[in-house]
Amino acid sequence: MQFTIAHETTYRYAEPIHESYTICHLQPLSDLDQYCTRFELSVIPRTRVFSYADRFGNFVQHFSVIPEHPLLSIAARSTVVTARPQDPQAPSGAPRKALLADPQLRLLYDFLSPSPLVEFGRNLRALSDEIGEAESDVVAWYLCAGKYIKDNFAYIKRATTVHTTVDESVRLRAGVCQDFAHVLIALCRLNGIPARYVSGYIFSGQGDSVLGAEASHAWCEAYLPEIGWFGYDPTNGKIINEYFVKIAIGRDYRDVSPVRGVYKGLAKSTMSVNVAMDELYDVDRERALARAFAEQQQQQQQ
Amino acid sequence: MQALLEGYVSQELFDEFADERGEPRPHYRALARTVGAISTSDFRHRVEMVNSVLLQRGVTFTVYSDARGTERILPFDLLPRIIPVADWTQIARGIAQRVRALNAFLHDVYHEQRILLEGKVPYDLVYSSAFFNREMLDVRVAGDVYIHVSGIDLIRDVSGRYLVLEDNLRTPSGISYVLENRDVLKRSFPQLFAEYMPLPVDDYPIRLREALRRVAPATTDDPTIAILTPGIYNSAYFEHTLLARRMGVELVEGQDLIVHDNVVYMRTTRGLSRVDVIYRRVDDDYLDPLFFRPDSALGAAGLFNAYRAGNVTIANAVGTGVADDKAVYPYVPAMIRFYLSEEPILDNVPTYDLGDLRQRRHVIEHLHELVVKRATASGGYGMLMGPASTAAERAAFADAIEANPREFIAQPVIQLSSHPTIVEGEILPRRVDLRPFVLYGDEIECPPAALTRVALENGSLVVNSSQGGGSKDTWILGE
Amino acid sequence: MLSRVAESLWWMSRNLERAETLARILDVNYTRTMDRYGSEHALPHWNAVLGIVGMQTQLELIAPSEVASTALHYCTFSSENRTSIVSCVRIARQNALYVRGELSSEVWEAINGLYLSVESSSPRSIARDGPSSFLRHVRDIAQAVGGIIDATISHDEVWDFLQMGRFFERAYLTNRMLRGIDPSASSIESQTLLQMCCASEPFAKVPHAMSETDRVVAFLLLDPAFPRSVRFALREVDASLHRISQTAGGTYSNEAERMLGRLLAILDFAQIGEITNEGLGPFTGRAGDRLDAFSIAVERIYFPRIPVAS
Repeated sequence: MQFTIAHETTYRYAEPIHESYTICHLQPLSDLDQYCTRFELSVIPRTRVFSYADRFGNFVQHFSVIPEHPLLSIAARSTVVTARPQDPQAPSGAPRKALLADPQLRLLYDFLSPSPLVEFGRNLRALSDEIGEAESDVVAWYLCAGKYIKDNFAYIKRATTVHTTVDESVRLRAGVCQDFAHVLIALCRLNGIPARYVSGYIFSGQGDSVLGAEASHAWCEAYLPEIGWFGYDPTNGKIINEYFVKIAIGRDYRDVSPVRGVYKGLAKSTMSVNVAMDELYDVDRERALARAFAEQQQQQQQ
Repeated sequence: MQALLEGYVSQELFDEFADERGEPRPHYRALARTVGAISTSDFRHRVEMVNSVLLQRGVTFTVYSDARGTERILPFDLLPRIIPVADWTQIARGIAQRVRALNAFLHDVYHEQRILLEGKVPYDLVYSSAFFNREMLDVRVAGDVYIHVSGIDLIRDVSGRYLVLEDNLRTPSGISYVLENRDVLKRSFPQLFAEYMPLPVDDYPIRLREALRRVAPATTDDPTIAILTPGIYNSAYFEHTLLARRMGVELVEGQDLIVHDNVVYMRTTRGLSRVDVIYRRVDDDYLDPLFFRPDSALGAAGLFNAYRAGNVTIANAVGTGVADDKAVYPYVPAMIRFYLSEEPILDNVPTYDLGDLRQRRHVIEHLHELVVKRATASGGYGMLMGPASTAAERAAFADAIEANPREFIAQPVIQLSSHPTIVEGEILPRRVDLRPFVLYGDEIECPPAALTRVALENGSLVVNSSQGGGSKDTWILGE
Repeated sequence: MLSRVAESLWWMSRNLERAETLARILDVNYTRTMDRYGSEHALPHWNAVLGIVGMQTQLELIAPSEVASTALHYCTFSSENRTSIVSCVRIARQNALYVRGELSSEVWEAINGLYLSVESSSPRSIARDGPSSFLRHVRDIAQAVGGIIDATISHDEVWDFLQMGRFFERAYLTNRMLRGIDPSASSIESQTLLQMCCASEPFAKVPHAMSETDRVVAFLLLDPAFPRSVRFALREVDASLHRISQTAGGTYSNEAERMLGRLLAILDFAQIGEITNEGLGPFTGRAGDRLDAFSIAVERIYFPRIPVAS
């Protein structure tokens, strides 16, 4: 499928601020499952935008605005083609010893250890006990853990903040996509399965209602034996399919937050975010189909 | 009247001055003669004079454990430590080899990670280091040089063999004492220099500046260098001002820097002025609130991205701490073999791996005869000196080690060498170490500038200035 | 030079000058309110002093017998009052500490010495011994620092920023003093003003062609040679400003130089008659506004809060 995504973030300040520095993770990745064909970032006030690829392979944009400004607006527009199946099947199972035999495993220290927002607390351990052991089949366990979160946690906005710890959201049994992703990642890592955070988008025009479509979304990828990184969305209880667009991967939210920054000035800021994701009607492809159909008709007439 | 130094009795360990029969070693004989010819009262008078000169000059450091942040002078001992040319040649080769290997290690762990993939250094050890800076992964630094300035702490065991105690690869301090000690000694006690021509230390600041010029971004032929200090309350602020003056470069604080369009500038009375090389005396964590501690005002927002883009050189590079993590220290000989295919010229002090259950058991049973250090601490803070410890202290360390073995290392107590030192008017043996400084611009160089620190308490093995140590002028003899 | 360094030099110098002037004004005012004529006018006198240094406190609400000691304490030891002597000395010393590397050790030691002696004086000891010896001590040391600066610091950019701060503050305060003067003031009033500017003796040498008040005003405002006249002090500021920007005198390269040039032109060619016709209050008021604008321009050019990025 092909999508256009407009992601606008605006900060308004009670009084003008100055010397603001902003770092963005807004450019969708290009990999085997999706391809970002177009990306534009426009900033108000106007300034030069720089970019680099970070250690995870994400594309990062950053810029500075020195003079006083009462508003900072960042608009990212991208077009992405996704090539995942519409209804992916659960992969076949594999025991833990298959994972332990994987030579890549020892290189995944960062995805096996706690990270700033993914810590192993008492509540998390209790949740892990509820779900059970992963020994015999880590694949099944992963999907089961993800589903367990979907079924037992309530999606409630403003129950948590970007700083909420995993243990706190486990205690609340509530949160938003970011919290659910962190909980699943923490469960995986606690059980010796490498897991990483994915920020991205989910398309809501797929019939059944989905959660997390009005802003940027987040989910989890686990490293599974003979499969590699495999995405699961614990917010919607779904294996990642063609309706998902990946922006960036990291240890947790902090590595890939869509927009973060610092500025000078005492004024408090208010942020508004607007994400619009549309399926792109491909004119060229439709024309080609129409032409082929017309030619077929002509041939039949002859 | 007995001449000074005549009654000097060394202890049951290696003495720098006296040999096994109590006679001065050849390179100390002239000094013994000069000192012997001076009356005790004249000598005392000079000691007082030196201390007043140092206080007047403001050669001070701040002691952190003192709540008022008191300024004190580092006690300066008049009797110089003398290093003969043969010793220095070996030391210089040894520390240069070490710095070369450590630099290669840093480049490797932040890029290909060959040494980890080949299992010569454990992958988890590096990734669990508090100083392993993930932001540095895949970041290229100018000339692939990370360790522009290092201070390698050496000690001598009972046989007189030089051993490396630790590598200081972040922001080693002490060079101001080297410069001031020499200057003060020349002015207050010129006779001592009779028959000796120690190699000069004065050109260190210029050599440092030249080394930094050579690692400037390629965009400029005439780089602007600045020293970044945490400010007037930092313990080494005196050193920062001294170096800035002698190098002829600007001394800046974080608030003086501003980054715009990925370029670093200083705020000056003539507007923004570009900075190409930052010799920073600020820790990694405080350099850029965007990437590291968000509450830090000691660095500048945007600095790290300018660095990543190659528009500014930061010296030492960000992330060098992973190589002087004390838990990584035992692997330095392996690094020398791995990267240089050479045998280490200077040996390590044997170190127990506390991650290994058997060794950890042994250490906990023998705490009373071992030294335990925190892997990430420096300056003599947070260590256990086994033979001088109480049972309660040992129990606390045993618990801490069991709870987090990665945080600690243990070593046998090495009897540091002793050196004649003036203690309340008498000349007595006191333990010393040696910190030579190594510069790395386009090549590694070892200026003949080394700091000798001395433990002023009898029997003490801790020479750190923060723990009541003093310093000596250190004479490195030429050919 | 780093903007932070220039800013510290500027504020260090201004606060030292302010402490010195304040000490002199307080001393003169305290002595004059001791005699019969003065004590009757204690309230207006102390209000005038507070006006000069831009302080505000409600003296009217205080018992007449307490006015002098309250005002004196407020101007000397009050920590809340950012322009009391103690505050000025603290600010000066803090700024000196920031730029210790740029100052000679003699300058640093003198400022630190002043700070230590001010911090160790107590309101009680002054209540007991009278304020004069304390005020004179502050005045003498602050004045001495000026001399030590001239004699031990290279006359380069560092010195020029110090010089600019010192003479700007002096012009500013002299102008403030003139602003408060009553045109029909008695000769005692004018004499007090001269004393506050330590101008009594130099003034005695001025020819007696005008009325007493006019002569005093002309002397303190326009005299080309007296170092506390507004005109003289601003000439010094102007010279430093041009050395810093390396611009020829009489021309300008920035807004601060242009503003100061215009004000100096007025003072250079003003006649006292014109000024009294216009009214001293409006004249010094306008001059004060120009000085305020000038100091803002200096800050904006040399140590802007937000730098101008190319």
